[in-house]
Amino acid sequence: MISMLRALLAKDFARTRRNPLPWLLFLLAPLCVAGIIGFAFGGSMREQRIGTLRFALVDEDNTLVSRFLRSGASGENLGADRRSALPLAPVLLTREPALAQLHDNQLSAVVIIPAGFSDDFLAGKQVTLELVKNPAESIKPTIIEEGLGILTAGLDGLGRNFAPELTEWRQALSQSPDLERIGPLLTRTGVRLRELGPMINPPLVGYCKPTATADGAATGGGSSFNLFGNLLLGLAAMFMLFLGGLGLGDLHREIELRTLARYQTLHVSLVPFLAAKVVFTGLMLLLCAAIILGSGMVAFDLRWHQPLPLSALTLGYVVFIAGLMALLVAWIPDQRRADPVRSMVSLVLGMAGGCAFPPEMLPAFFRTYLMPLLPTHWYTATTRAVEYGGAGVDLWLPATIKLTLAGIALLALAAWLFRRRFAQGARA
Amino acid sequence: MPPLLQIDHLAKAYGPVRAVQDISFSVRPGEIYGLLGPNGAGKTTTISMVSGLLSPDGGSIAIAGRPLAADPQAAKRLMGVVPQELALYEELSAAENLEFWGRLAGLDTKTARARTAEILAALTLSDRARDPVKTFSGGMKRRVNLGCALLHRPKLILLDEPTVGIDPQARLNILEFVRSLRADGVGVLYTTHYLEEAESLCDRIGIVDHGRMHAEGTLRELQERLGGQRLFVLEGQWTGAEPDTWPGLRQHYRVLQHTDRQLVVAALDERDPADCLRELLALPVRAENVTLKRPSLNDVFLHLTGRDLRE
Repeated sequence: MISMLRALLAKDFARTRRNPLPWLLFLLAPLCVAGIIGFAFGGSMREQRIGTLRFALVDEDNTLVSRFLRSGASGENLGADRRSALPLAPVLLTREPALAQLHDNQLSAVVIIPAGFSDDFLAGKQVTLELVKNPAESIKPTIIEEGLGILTAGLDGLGRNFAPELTEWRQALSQSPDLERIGPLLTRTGVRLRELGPMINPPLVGYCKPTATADGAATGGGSSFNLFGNLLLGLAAMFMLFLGGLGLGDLHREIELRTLARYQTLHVSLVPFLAAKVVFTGLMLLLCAAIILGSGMVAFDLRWHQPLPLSALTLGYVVFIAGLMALLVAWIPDQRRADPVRSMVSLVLGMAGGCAFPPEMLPAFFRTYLMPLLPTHWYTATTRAVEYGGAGVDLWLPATIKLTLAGIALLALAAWLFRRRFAQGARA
Repeated sequence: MPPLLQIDHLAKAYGPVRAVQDISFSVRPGEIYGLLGPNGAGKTTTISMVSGLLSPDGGSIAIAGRPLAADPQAAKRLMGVVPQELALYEELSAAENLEFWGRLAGLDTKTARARTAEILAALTLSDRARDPVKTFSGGMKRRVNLGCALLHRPKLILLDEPTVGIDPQARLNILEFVRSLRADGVGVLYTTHYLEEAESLCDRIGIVDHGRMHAEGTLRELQERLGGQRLFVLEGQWTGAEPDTWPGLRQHYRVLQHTDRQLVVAALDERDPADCLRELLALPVRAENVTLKRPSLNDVFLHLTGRDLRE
């Protein structure tokens, strides 16, 4: 029996080696799709990094206040370690060159400090900073806009709470600096700021962002989120269904080639033949999963932080796929009908299981009643929770067991269907 | 010694279609038994039942004296089946195909490899042993298809139309190989719809049509079923003629075939051909040309089934 299994497996591996194209296509597909979708939604290969925010500062005011704002934006007054942590890369330009570079897609935004800004601000008048965003970018200009919003809110608060001091500052700075006047003003402003400190730092009201796991439990741990990794886990799950179909669908080809019939002229029991095909498919799926997830590490600079749970879940998922595809072959003997059914089942299970996009985007009915029943969801949600939500053994072990048991049940059903079909004397 | 294959009253139906009806025959060691019949006669269904791919609806099959149903696995070990359609892995080489089927037949790797080399040499394929089967001609694929069934040295070989669609040289090669199997004492069940093959190769022939066995025996025995050694082929305008009503014809001749252009009759007893010729030229419809010949297997088939095997 073992010798026969080895011969059957060697034959299937040799055939695959000679004709690897179908396997390669399904291997490349999840990587390509993850790349395309990831880049389309502004993903980056670096974990939790959005890259450097390049923007221009146009200082048309050119006063002490505007210079203060400029240095604040460029981080000139920060230490070297803190400056490197800032993703800001402002350049000081005049209006025309700045707008020209924006059109050439070299900048994400242009922030303009208009002439008279300092005078008006210190006089308590309404002032406006100008923001021109790059329409070809989505994420970075939005971040700069948000940052500018925070700055203006801060300036607004400053203007409202320090109105008397600002008026004096204006007068002190408008002429040649009078140190006798500036000294007490500086002291008074410092005292007020110190008094205000406890009221704004730490803020009285805050919020936290716990990560929801597959079972609805919340956890605050986990590794940093990566869009490509998140996508790749789902897409790998979906395309592994196709790969499984390719492996076990080969049984149809064996029927068509009459090689299964030839096997039947040598042996009464079909079990070794079918078992070998299931084992072959399982081994190929594990290899393909390793290649897809491993390639993701190279192509998207991903790091899989939980290799053991990920491997265990993948093993369980492989058993499930082998069972599902064996059942489809046993159920539909005709290849021409089986192929589209297999593709549809893979697509539906993949899509409804949340493999191709975030499950939260699906209708509530799906999320509540359908997804919890789908093994594709068990796999993708759990692997994502393990990798990015910090889910522990209490989550991934039951999911692994569920996937494995579902696969075994499907394999048993497939074996029963095969046995019934061939016991009736039907030719393979 | 019991026959290697004994079939009694075998029957199989596919729904309303009765593919095999009451077929009986046997194959002895060192004998080539030919099942001759047109496409759809029931030959492949018979072989499928013998090889265990189909369950018979009725009748019995015994392999080397033991009922097939009693121990099918033991029976399969004695048999080698060469299916009509090629059952090969085209991506693999000829040697890989043979070795694989040898391993599945229970041989260890070393033995399978040694026998593969032997069989490839016997089939004159040694020089292409490592080439993928998909690069082979039809005749070469047929030879590999044949070789795959022989690795475990079966006592009984079932060959289902092994020469369909190949060139004459490849056919001769296969026929020669089958003869060598007979010389080794192997029993061969050989189905074909080629008359020449059955005539030149088979020790005994069973004529099947529409699922029924019409006659069986050696070529001579089958020829003698026509009652004599002479056939007359009369060419002329036989449209509308009713030979059965002509006086004297039915007493001395059997009408084998009657078409618009041809009338084939067999002389029923040993008579002088010259007398026969005189009588036939005196028939109510004038023959334009008369040919005298020995009865062929096709004539026998024609006589038994009422139709030409070549039709």
